[in-house]
Formats: sequence, structure tokens, C-alpha cells
Amino acid sequence: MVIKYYATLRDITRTKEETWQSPTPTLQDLLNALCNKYGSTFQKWVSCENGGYGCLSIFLINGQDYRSLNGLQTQLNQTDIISIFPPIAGG
Amino acid sequence: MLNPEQKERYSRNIKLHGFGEFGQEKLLASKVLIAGAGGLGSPAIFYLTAVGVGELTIIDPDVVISSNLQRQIIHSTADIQRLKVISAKEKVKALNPDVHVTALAERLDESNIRRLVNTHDFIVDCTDNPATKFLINDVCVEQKKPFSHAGVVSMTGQIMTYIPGHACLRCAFEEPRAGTALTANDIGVLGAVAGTLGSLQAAEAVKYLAGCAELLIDSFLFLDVAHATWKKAKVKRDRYCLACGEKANRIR
Repeated sequence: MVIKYYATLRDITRTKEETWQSPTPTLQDLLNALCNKYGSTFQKWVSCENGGYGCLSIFLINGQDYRSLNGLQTQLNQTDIISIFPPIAGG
Repeated sequence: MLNPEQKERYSRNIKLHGFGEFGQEKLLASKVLIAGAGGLGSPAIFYLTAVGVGELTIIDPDVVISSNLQRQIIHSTADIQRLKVISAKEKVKALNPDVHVTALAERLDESNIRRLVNTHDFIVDCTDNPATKFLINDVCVEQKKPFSHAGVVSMTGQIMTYIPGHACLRCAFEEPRAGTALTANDIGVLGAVAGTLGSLQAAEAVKYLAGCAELLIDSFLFLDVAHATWKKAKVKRDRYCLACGEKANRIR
């Protein structure tokens, strides 16, 4: 599958997209693996204060909001495209 | 009714598909609140003035400083240390005498936002911090007022439009904890990126007020100039949203 990063996540991961081949059956498994790979700065943008994921950032699976699918338990396939958008709040 | 000078001045608006003289009359009868006269606010103010919105209210407590000038194009070198709203008001009056402008040199906060949102037809959020952006969202949802949200930092930006019944900012993002969001002070911001997003905000306001063309609702547009990419992301309205969900309690 392909993971696309936006805004400040591109600076943290030092890429705008990557191909992901490790077994991560669900979105939650993928986010766990990405947090392990990229560390606490990445984790800050994708996780929630009280645990879990998705409070600060938007996750799209093939262009669909993950909440309109099966949330963090959405099953992922090798052909999926995952997009992660952190908020941009300056003006 | 438009007078002959207005028919000439706004002729390129009037020719737009779906716009016409009726669209221009609606714009001239409209009141828009612009929160922030900085990087986003500068182009938004200029374009809403030029297009002929009848009444603009600009609110911003700050004075112009020299590091504003690489992006906040409504202000000039001679405006350093002057209130941004006074500087902006002068530019509006010089550009289009049809536009009545009110300059408020104060911070938009809990003490004034309900009155201001209530007395305007459309709100353009050009503020520079997440706390005020979420305050604008929550009060606009509460009062069923349409608004344009945008944010910029570094070479990236995002924009969405809210109209009642559709996804709001809080459906997409939770409010970042104080101090966690990156700002232009931390990592800079490219003026042309702020200019692009502020111009799009003006376009969203015009489309809504004139009643023509499609709005950027239930979706975000993300711009990344560093990688020369645009991405439109659909956002689902969250039925459990704290601001607009079915069982939302007043969170303010």
C-alpha cells in the first residue's frame, strides 16, 4: 500500500509518500507501526491525548474518511492509498 | 439597482456565469466579517473590497511590524507601528468607495464574537491561532452562519467552507492543545501561499453571497507548494461532533 503524508508530516517523515509492505491488517495496526518508525513527534500529530488515534489529523483510505468506513478497525489491503493530513492553523 | 458607474465597475463580475446584476446587487447588500488583517486577511480584504461587498467589518488587535510585510500585502512600510485595521481601512476606501468598512482594533473572543457573527452574513476566518479558529467554528455552528476557514504555515495551507447542515471544522479536527500547533513564528510562512489561500477564501464568500457556483463544503483543500501538489479530501460530517453533532451540547 502507499502512505501519503501532508504538511508538517512530510518534514517529520522526510518523504511525501512511501510504499508500505509490512503486514498491518488494520488502520490501527498501521498507525502503531508508523509511530514506532517515526517516533514521538509523529505520534503527537496522529494520536489523542487520552490514547487512540485521529484527534488532530484526518485519515483517508482511498479518499474516504476512515470514520465513514470501519474506523481504526478498517481492514487494509495492499492496493490501498492512505493519506494523513495534520491541521494547519496559522494565518 | 446598479447605477451606470457600478454597471461599468462590476461588468466583469456581472458577466460571470450565474452571477449577473442580481448577484452584484446581493453582494452590495451583504455584510462580511473578516477576522484577522494579516497574511490571509490581506488578500481576502482586497478581493472582497474590489468585488463590491457592501459592508466589511475587519477585526484585529495588532499593529503592523516589519516581519509582517513579506506576506501581509495590504500594509506598507509606512504603516509600521500603525493598527492593522486602520491601515486596511485606508486601502479599502482608496480601492472602492462603494464599500463601507468598520475597523475594530480588538481581539475576537467570547466577549464580542456572538454579536459580530450574528450581525454579518458571512464570516472569513483569517486568524492565526487554533483557539480562535475553533471559537469561530463553534459560534458559527451555534448561530447557523456560513464561514470560510483557512490556515497556512510554511509552504502549506488548508481551506474549507462551512454552511449549516454540512461538516464543520470540528468534524475534521480536534482543537490542538495550546502550544502544539506550528506557527509562522516557529517555521516561517511563504507569502504567496497565504495569498493563495486568502484569495480562495474571498472566492468562497463571493460564491455564497452571490448564490453562484459550488462551494468547498464537506471537504478540505490542502495545498503543498513545497511539493507542488493540491489535494482535495472529503470529510464526513461527524454525528458525534461536539459542535454540530446530533447530540452536541453547547461546548461554549
